[in-house]
Amino acid sequence: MQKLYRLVGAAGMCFRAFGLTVGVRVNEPDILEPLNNHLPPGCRFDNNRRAGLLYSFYVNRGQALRGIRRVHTLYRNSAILLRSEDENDLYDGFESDVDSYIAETSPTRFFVHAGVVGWHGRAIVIPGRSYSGKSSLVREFLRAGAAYYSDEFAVFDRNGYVHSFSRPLRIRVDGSDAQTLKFASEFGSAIGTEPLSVGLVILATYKKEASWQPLAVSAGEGTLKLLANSLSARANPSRALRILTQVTKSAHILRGPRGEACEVVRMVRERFESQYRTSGR
Amino acid sequence: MKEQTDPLKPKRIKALTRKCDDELLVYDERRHKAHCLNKTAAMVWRECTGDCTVPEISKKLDTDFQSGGDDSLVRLAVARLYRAGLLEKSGMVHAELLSRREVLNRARAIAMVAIPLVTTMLVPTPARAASCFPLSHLCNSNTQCCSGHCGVLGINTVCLP
Repeated sequence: MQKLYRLVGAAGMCFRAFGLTVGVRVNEPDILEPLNNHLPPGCRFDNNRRAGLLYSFYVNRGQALRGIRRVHTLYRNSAILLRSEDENDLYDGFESDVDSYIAETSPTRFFVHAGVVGWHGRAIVIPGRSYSGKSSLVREFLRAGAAYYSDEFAVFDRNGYVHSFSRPLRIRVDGSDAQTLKFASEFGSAIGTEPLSVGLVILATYKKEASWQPLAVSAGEGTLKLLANSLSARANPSRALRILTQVTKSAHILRGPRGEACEVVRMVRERFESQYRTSGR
Repeated sequence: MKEQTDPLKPKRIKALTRKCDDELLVYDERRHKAHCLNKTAAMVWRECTGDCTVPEISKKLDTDFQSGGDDSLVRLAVARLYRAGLLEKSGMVHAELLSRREVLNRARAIAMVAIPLVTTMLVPTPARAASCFPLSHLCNSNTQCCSGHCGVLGINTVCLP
């Protein structure tokens, strides 16, 4: 660790997010600036606490020598997390890893892998793994005027309210593995700031040419589905059950394979828009 | 007389529980499985203390189930709870739970809402629940990749097909 500190001790910062403190050290002070764009949403700088996790960036700015690769390295505590010739890979790797760390260990919030939008003062939660079509559904809701909360994690507090975790959306291009970053503003949508109670949970997996004919699911089954997408339920199942039963208590839960995202959004508008408006929620 | 020939005294496992409307959520910390029991299954599971036989449980729940002394519903519930791993294995005699078809045939007379249901789900490890990386993305372990294969390519470890 001392050796590593000598290598990357040029500059550093400490930030706090969702009850956790994370430290970052770099060997080139100028990389702190691009790194700011990869910090967790809602974090704040705090140099007065001991970091629970320390990332160290070693960016090789040495002279390029023929036949020798210039490799940049990211460390997680004292272990190598990533090595790459592209500096940007380190930032992406840091973002992904710090998000996972927070989602798994946050003492103040409970994280579920899901997309979230705000809709007439209530949240629509779309849990699902990668490639289940979450992002395209979130994007479609944003186009329809919903507020953006998250593309990756539904962040619940102890009362079951969902909070914003607004990183840019990662949209896959034409079903390929390549992803492009899109900001909510590109869809004419604002970022939600107020915590919301959950009005609707959509358990839908994309299936080509499927027509969405969802079934209403009980609160208990809905809770199970959310548990299956949670990141810290194994570590603290009691807390997970307590929070998720609060989440599903007053929510509609719909399940079924879906086709195009616009079909789901249209149906949700028809079925729930007037309901939310009249109930004043 | 039947009670003497029926030694089956189902005993529920130790688990975390949480009520959710009419249903009961049960979390088995040993196997990290979460179960959702509907009202009927939950009532039977609560009565499975290891002290009562199936007919005794049936008698206790007769008012709620309105089964008229027929214990087939409780047997079906016990069979399903047993299969879900929510009952202790010791002392269980599987054959005594009757075949499912037999129980269902007898239970058809009872309203469908009363049929005991147990839904089970394995709670994933954090790595399994997190987003996975696409092909060629830098990775540390197989679980990070959607393809399930993190391998060396040049100097990097990346997700491979």
